[in-house]
Amino acid sequence: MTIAQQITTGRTAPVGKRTRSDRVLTPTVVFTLAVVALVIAVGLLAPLIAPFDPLTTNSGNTFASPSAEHWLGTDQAGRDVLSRLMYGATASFRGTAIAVAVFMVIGVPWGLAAGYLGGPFDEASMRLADAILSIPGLVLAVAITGVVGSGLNMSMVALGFIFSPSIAMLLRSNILPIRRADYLLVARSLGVSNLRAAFRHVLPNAFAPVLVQACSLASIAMIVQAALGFLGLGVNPPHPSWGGDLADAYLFFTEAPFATVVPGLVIVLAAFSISRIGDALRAWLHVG
Amino acid sequence: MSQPSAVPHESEHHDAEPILSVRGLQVDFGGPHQAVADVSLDLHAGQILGVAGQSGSGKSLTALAALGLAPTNADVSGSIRFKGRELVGAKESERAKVRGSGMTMIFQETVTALNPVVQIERQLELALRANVACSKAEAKDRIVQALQDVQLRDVSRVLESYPHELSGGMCQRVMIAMALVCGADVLFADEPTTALDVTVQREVMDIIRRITDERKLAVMLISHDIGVLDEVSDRLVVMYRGRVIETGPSSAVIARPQHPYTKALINSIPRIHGSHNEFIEMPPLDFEEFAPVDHQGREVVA
Amino acid sequence: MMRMFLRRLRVVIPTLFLITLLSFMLRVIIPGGPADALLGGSDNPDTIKMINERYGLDRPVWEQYLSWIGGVLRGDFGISYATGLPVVDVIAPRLASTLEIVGFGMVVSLVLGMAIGMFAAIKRETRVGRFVFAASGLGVSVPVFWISTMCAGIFGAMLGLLPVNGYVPWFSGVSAHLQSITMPVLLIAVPPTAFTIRHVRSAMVAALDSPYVRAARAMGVSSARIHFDLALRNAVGPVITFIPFLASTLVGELVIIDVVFVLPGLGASIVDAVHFRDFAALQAIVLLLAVAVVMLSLIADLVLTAIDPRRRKAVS
Ligand SMILES: Nc1ncnc2c1ncn2[C@@H]1O[C@H](COP(=O)(O)OP(=O)(O)OP(=O)(O)O)[C@@H](O)[C@H]1O
Ligand SMILES: [Mg+2]
Repeated sequence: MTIAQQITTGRTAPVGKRTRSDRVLTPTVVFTLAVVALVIAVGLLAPLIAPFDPLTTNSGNTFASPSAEHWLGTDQAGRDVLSRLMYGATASFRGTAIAVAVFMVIGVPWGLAAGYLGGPFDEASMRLADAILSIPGLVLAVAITGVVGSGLNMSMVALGFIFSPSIAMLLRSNILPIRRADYLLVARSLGVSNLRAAFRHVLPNAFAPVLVQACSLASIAMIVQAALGFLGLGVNPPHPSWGGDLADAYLFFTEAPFATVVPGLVIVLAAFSISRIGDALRAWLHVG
Repeated sequence: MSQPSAVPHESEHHDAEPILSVRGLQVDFGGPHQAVADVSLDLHAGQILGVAGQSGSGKSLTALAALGLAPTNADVSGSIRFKGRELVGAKESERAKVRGSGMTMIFQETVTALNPVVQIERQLELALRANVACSKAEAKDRIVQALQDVQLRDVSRVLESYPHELSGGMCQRVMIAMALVCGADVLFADEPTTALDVTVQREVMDIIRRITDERKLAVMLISHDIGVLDEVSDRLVVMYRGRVIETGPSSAVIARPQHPYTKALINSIPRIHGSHNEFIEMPPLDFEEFAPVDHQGREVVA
Repeated sequence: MMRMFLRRLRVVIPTLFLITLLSFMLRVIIPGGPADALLGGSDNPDTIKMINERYGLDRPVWEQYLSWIGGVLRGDFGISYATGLPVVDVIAPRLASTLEIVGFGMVVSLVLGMAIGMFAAIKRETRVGRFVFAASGLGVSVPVFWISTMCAGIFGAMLGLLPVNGYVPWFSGVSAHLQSITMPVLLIAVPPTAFTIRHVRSAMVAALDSPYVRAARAMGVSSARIHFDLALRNAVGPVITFIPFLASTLVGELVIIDVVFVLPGLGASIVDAVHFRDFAALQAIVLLLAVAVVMLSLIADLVLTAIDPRRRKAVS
């Protein structure tokens, strides 16, 4: 459907238009939603539900095997692994949320402005996006974090900044048709108030892919955050984080391989679930 | 000649043996309606069989099924005999051998029916060599000859071109030339002119008519436009919901349509010339209660 | 071709300029300034003053940028804060292992990715095809630091099959050299291979479902022939476009791989620069990597224009 048709018929391209045969809530999607909900819940409730303090060391009980007391055993400092994982969820969830908030807050107005204003602003801002995106993401994340100082919040703000061009470019290209000639023609022939109608109809369509993209970026953010933690640039040790704990455990791989396996599995599961939600959203919103 | 089906099939009293003979063809996707419910028709050398019918009536699927190119999820049954050989149920390798050198097909798509990143000459050569073993020089001769047969001017330029450098009409001619170099006896032409300008449509139709006569091809020409079919085809088949509902010599069908659906089709000709939209939006009457008609002299009760 | 090149330059030059600005900004956004950060918050004003003078940090920012960029254009990236040596001398020895790991990683990703991606496309309706596709989805989101620690732990530390510690130059023994890079190369290639599989598969599926494939089949061209031709001609363009992205992904992962396998590469340099607060080196590395990616895209575009007839026409 061309923009002109959208405006004249008041119909939009099939966002949210579903046929009954498209099942959105497949078992996989339900499972991934449950995983994400669990991570968020554990992250929020860690102080209440964690069986131990994640920082309390016990030099007499290092590398303990899983037991009734320590379900996932203890680490090299005798700290409870399960409790550290739970607090790690807090860090992971908060970090991802910060990154998502930052790239949406920067990316959406940026994309809207570039797409709507066009001209030199569009041109310049897209070159800036090219520039940011041509620096390998993890390299830039490490560099910025190194410069502004490590710590969860700053590193995730940096990550949000690095991801914002992806959102901006996508949104821009989606609202670009509004400025196309055939729209302007119709708008003129129908009266200017249709400009508003155009935005009402085109914007929801433009935002659907952005939501899908946000999910996949959130999933990457969670992994990059863990990678920064792994490099010692995220959460400051000895505070618990999935990536940092994995790095510590790796040093003792031969003694306790399990301690390296488990945080990694948790990261994979959580990040994969978020990206699967993006896929489900894509199907649900009929994004190409 | 055996006749397993009671529905009319085309030209059962014809003298010569048909090259392709379809009987009781069914194509099923597992949906509530069969995409092709019961189609019988014959293709004869040097003749064009026109196939008319609205969108979704199973025209393309009939041709694709005959070629063995129906979608993989389709269940094809009935009988398809090519030069006396049964193809339904035959091994894929055997069916593949028939494609190209035995039967071939051209489509509504013009520019996109050719590989965008390969030069025309190479595409023709590929089709030729898939079917005919010959020397490089001989291949070139045949290709040039075929392009001249479809009245392409500036053959050497065309050979070096990529599809996007040619017009839709030129691409369709290249496709016809490709069908010719394959040396097929049967040509399915699925709305070959629908995507073309009106003037070009006419030229392409004339080419199809001429090569049919010169090369004694057996052609099945599918079109929305029964008016066009009236001009170029020898016999006509009208399809409705996967069935043949009227058949006979073109002139007879057009002059004395019996089936109400055919009448509706013919009545819509003046309105639809040049545009197919109105035709498709014809009132959704249900013609299934009417008996199929065979102009070979009698009315057949289904 | 020339016009295409000039048109691309109109995009590339501003991008390069912005990249230099971004790299330079790393120095500007340091809270309290580089000298403060370098001294770890020392409050002795004389020391700060001395450092600022030594590295030219007391001049206005734009002047610093101009002198920095002037140096960069002459191949002079300044003096490393951490070692006092020219940054070039710090970076240059790091290139060998990086070029090798990233280069081989690229080759592995492309070869495996294209082969598996085409297989998955041709077999897309079979169980194997669907499984391969699903597995590539997992490969895309698996963190490299996790699989590389796991593999290093299992194959290195536990089984002792391959070394996990350090880079052996080839002149110290070819076999030892190859052993030292095997795991880094294979592991750095995991996500890029998965990305390539998905990319090639979708390009191939689009080609396989296209009208020209149906037409070619109707003309009797065999499936094997069609697949071969599509692989050779229609999949090449999408893969070339994809190479800069792959390079960028590989370099990002190099940071992890260098750390896990203790390799003397640029990835390790970045982490070192961060830990030693060597902002001059950090700027230089970020700049170099970004410029390399931009240049690679430019080359990819030119190659694509040279081989894709549609593009050739669009620009001539
Ligand atoms: N892959 C498929 N899966 C399910 N149903 C299909 C498939 N391909 C075709 N059909 C069904 O088969 C019917 C006949 O299709 P066909 O393409 O033969 O129609 P047609 O007469 O050629 O129409 P048109 O004039 O639009 O080309 C259609 O109603 C369609 O719904
Ligand atoms: Mg059709």
